[in-house]
Parts: sequence; structure tokens; C-alpha cells
Amino acid sequence: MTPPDGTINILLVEDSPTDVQIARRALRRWSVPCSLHVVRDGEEALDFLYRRGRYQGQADVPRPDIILLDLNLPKLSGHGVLQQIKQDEGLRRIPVVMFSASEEEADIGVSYDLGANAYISKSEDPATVQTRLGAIESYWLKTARLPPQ
Amino acid sequence: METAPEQNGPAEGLRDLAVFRPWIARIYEQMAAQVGVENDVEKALQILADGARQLFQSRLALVGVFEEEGEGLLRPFAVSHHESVEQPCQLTDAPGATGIVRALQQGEARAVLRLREVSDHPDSSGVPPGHVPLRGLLATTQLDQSSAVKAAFLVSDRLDGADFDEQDEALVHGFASFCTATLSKLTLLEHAEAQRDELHQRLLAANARLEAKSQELEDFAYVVSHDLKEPLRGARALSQFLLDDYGDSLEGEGREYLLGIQEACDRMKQLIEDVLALSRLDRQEGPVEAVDLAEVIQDVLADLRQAIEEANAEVQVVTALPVVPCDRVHVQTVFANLIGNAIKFRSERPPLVEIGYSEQDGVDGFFVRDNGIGIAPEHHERIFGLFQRLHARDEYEGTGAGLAIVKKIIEQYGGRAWVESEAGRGSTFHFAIPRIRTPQPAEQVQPVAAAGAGPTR
Repeated sequence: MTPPDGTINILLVEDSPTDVQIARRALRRWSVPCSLHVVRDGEEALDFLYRRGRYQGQADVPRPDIILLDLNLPKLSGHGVLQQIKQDEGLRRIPVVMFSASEEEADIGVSYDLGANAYISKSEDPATVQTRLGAIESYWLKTARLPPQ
Repeated sequence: METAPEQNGPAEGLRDLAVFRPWIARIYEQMAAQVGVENDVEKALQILADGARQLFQSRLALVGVFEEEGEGLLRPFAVSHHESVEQPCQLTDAPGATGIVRALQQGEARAVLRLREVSDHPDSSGVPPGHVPLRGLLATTQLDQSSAVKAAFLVSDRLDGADFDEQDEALVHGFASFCTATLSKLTLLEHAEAQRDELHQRLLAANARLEAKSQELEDFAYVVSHDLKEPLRGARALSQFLLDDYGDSLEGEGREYLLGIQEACDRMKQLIEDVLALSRLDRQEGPVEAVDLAEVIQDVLADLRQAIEEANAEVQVVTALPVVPCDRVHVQTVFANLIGNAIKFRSERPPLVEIGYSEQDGVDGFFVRDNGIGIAPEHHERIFGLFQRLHARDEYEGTGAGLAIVKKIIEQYGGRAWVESEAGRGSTFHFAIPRIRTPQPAEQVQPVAAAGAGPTR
């Protein structure tokens, strides 16, 4: 359920500007107010989560309620980020939803092996992507309980 | 090796020809039998050396093969010695062997060397100190048919103490020929096996390279298709957002333009996926197993259910279908494409699709026949080309990759695909594949062996 101040923080790890636009547009339709934070690669994502590097001492670097994680990232791959998050005691509770254009069974399988909470394909038309991201809201924010921080 | 004559008494009795001839015959028979089942050159040489010592009733015998590019070195060789020679002889210890052997190599083949004393030869280095005294030497060399193998044959010190005589000289040629023939055959066998092993290694290496290349191509195709699709996603999404947000206020053909962009993106995406599918055909999707084609057809029809219903089509299997060893995904792809096409390219009549099989001369033949729009003969070859289409894009959907994929799969199985059709008269697509035979044990290839080489290792 929504945290006390009512705003959900979503961390989107995505390097394609268009895919960011698609996600942002979908999130606008969510009924629950949310704040979207975007990082462009795996290292930035970890910097954000650990509040280090460029994010050290910055304001508005909250702990995300949900992480949307692309696979096809420069430098550290999506699987690499996922592994680090799920192996870290302090971070592994955060639900990670893979958000990827790959439909390869290998990619999906490895994601779940590494502890992804869900895998959403973004390879359909944008309307379908919007519906799927809407389902994320409906499931994670209205059906399931989010983990305590 | 038979030793009876030595035990039976003095060797002189053997010089009587009546006794000697059957004795010779027995020795040769035994040697031939033993050497006939021996594939190892060194063991064969030992048999020959032992046989020589028996035959010539000598204290020492030596049989060897000259190294191809050597200075009179015999390698390999074998020495046979009487029990009265206490220490086993090495080549350098044999009666003046080193110098004499070199002289033999440089001399003419078949020339016979017969000495009363080993030290009579100018090149002889004599008998080594401490060695049992050896008197007399009989030696010759022989070339095999190809002149590639030169064998040397030496016996020394007759047991009866006499000198080697003309009778011995007469025997030695025959014996040397027998040795050379045997050794030549064995050497050929060794070479053939070495060649076979080398070819095998090269084949393995080539195979490994091919696998690696294939994987490279697969990875490349995957990455390329992934990266090519990403901008398409962007173009499609943004045009969709324009339509959603501003569609109502767009005048004239603005909406049409945006829809056109979207269709172009969808088409491009399909083209990329078709190319990816085609590139993947080089790899087997799954194991080669016995596949029941009747089941495969049922699966294909289940997948095409919606298309079949919309077209009000009837699909019949008109013959029995076999069980064949193949990759299930491949054969399913072939039938899915052919049956799908048969339904898609229909005329005004409800489509009737017939599938059948026949076998002739070890070739499996299949057909998919329809009563659709047909294909004019001038296009029969073209349609199997990649992305070749006979119709405008809005008449029939599809990228024109289906038949190219079918053709590629069939050709990978060593078969061919073709069509019988006329415009307006329906089409029958055929494909024929030679039936794969799994080799039976009796047909397994034997390693190269000259006659009489015996059982393979």
C-alpha cells in the first residue's frame, strides 16, 4: 500500500530516451501519485541506490519503492545491476521489475534466476506497454503489499 | 617359435636337403601366421628376426628398416640371439654392425655380403669386448616395390661353427624378400593410420571453427535485430502519442501520415524478425528425433485455427503421414508456412487445402495443394526468393519471407522444393527429401589396411 506521504518513488534504469518517454507517459496515467527518477546506466543506478558518487549529499535521492530495470544498458548490464541489488542485504527487498525489449527465453530465465520480481516485455506497441505498466500499478500498489523500508 | 631342431641334436643333420626343406616350410608357415596378425612393426620385426635365427641356425640375427633420411641407422630393428649369447645385443654391439650396416645402406640392394670373419670387412668395427665371439656374417638388403622401404637383414655365427655357404646365400634372398614385403605392408599401414589421424584432427578443428562461426553469426543477428528494432519502437510510440494527443485536431491527411509511419514501423519490425529467423536456420533448434508428422500437422492447424475459421477453410490430410527423423521445429515451420499460404492466397471459393505424402526410391515426397489464386509459371522460381512478393502490400499481408524459409530448411536436409500451378487454378507446393539413413554397424568404415593386416585396432 502507499507509504504515509502518498508518493511512490519509481527508479527507472533506461538508456533509450524514447523508452523513457513511453514509461513516463504510462506512469502519468497512474492514479497513485508517483515520482519518476531516471538513470541512464547500471553504474548510475547503483550510485543512486547507494547515494554515492554524483548522488552523494543530493536532495531528492529517495529509496525507490519499485525499480524498473532495462536489460540492454551501457557499461554494467541489466543482469549485472539486478545481481548486485539482490545480493545486497539493504537493497534486495525492493521489487525489481525487468522492463526489456528482449523476448529471449535465456534473458527471461536468467532474470528470474537472479531474483527479479517480474519481467515485462516492452516490444509490443506502446498502447500495450502502457497497459502492462498500468498492471504494475494495479498489482504492486493496489494488490500486493510493498516491503517495509 | 618352434625350437625343436636345436633340441633334437646337431645342426648338421639339417644340411641334408630332404630334412631341410620341410623345416624351412614350417618356419615360413609359422612366421607368416604370426606376422599376419601383427600390426605393430617392432613386434613383427622380432618375429622375423627369431625366424631368421631358426632358419639359418645362427647365434644372432638382426632385421631392421633403414631410416628414410638417415646415415645407415636402422630404425626400427629387432635382434634375436641364441641363449648362449648372455647379454642382449644392441645395434652397436652386434658384430661390427655399425660400420657394416652403413656400408649395407650405401650399397646396392640385394647385394649379398658373406664373410668368414666379421673383422674381414674394411668397415667393420669388430665384436665389442666382452661379447661372445661371433664368426661369420651373412647380410643383405632389399627394397620394397615402391622403393620407399629398405630393409636390412643380418645373421651371424652359425651354431655348427661352419662358414655361411652358397645354400645360405640362396636362402637369404628369399628370406629378405619375405621380410621386406611384410615390413612394407606394415609401414604402409602405419602411414595410412597416421594420415587418418591427421585428417581426423583437421576435421575436428574445421568443425570447431564452423561451430564458432555459426555462433558468431547467431550472436550478430541477434544483436543487430535487437538494435535495429529499438528506433522503430521509438518512432512507433511517438507517432502513436501524436495521434493520441493531437489526432482530433489534425486536418486533412495528417492522421493518414501518422498511421502510415506506424505501418512502416510494423513492417520493418517484421522484416527484421524474418531475417533473424532465416539466419537462425543454420542452427538446429532442437534434437533430431523421430517426429510423427501427423502430430506436427495437428499442431500447425491448431496454431492456424483463427485464420482457418475466418477463411472458412477446410484442411485435409489425404494420405498417411510417416514418422521421420528430423528437427521438429524445422518441419513444423515448413508446414506452417505452406498451409498458411494456402489459406491466405485464397480465391472467392472457400479454401480447400490437401496435404499428402508419398515415398519413392528412398525419397520422401510431400505436397500441400490448394484451390486458391494460383501462380503464373513465370513466377514459379521467384517466389522462393527472400522478400519476393507478387502482390501489392495492401492486397495480401506478409513480407515474402515464408517460402524463402521453407526452401532454406528443405535444402538443409538435402531436398528440394518446387511448385505446380497456373494463375487462377490453385497451387500444389511439393518438397522432397532423401530419407536419412542411420548407418548400420556392418557399414561402418574400416581403417585403411593392406590385405592381410589382420584385425583393426
